[in-house]
Amino acid sequence: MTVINPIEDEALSTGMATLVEKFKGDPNYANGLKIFAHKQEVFEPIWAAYLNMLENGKLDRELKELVRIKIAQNNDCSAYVEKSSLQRSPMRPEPVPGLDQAKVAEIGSYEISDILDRREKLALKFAEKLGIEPEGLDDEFFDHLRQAFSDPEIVELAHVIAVGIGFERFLAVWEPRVCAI
Amino acid sequence: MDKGLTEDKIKELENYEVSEILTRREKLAIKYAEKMGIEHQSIDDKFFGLLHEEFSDAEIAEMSIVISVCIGWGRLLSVFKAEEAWD
Repeated sequence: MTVINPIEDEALSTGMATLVEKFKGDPNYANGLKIFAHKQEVFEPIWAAYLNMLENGKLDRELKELVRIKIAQNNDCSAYVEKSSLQRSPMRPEPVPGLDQAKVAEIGSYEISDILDRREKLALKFAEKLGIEPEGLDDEFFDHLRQAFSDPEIVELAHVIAVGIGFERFLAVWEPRVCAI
Repeated sequence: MDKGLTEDKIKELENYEVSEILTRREKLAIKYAEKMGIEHQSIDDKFFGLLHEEFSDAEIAEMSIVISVCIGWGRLLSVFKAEEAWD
C-alpha cells in the first residue's frame, strides 16, 4: 500500500511511460515515479534531463554512481544498498558498466580510502555535506573542488547531487519504501 | 501579493507551529518541507494521514516537487553564493 496513490499506467503521458518503463525491473522505484507523475507535465522533463545527464554527461558514469550511492546511504537507503547485487546500484535496475565494487564498499569511510582517488573523495564530500550540512561547504572546499574539476563538471556533479538529495529522498519516504526492499 | 501570500504570513514561518494566521493546510505544508529537509526519516504513515486530511494525492505530489527543487537546487544556489552575483 502506497501512502500516495501512483497514477494509473493509462494516465501516463508517452514520455512519462517511457521513463517508467526503464524501471520496470524495480517496481517500487517505478511506483515512486508514478506518484511524482501526478504532475507529470513538470516532472517528466526534469527526470528525462536527469537520466540523460547521468548517462551522457562530461563526468565518468562511475563517479556519478558512487555519488548516488553515497546519497542513498545518507537518505537511509543503506539496506537497499547492501542488498543490491554486485553490479547493481541503488534505485537502478541495470548494471552500471565499470562500477568497481571495491570502491563501492569504501564509500562509507571514503575519507580514509586508499583506492578512491582525490576527485572521487571530493565528489563524495560534496554530496555528503550538501545533504546534511550545507553550511560546511565553504570557499576553501570549493577551491579544492575547482582544482580537481572544471566549472561545467562541478555543475553536472551538483545537478546529480541536487536530484539525489531533493527528489530521491522522497522515494525513501513514500510507501512502499524504495529503500526497504 | 499574489495567491494570498502576505508579509504577515512570511514573518510567521519561523514559528509557524504556533501561528494564529497560518491555516492548518499551510502549517502542514511547511511541516512537510521542514521534515523533508532535515529529518525525512521521521515522516511516517501518521503524518501522511494528516496530509491526506488536507491535500489530495495530486496536491501532495505537486508540493513534493516544489520541496524537492528547493531542497536540492535551492541548497546549491545557497552554497554557490548565487545571490552575491547581484551585489
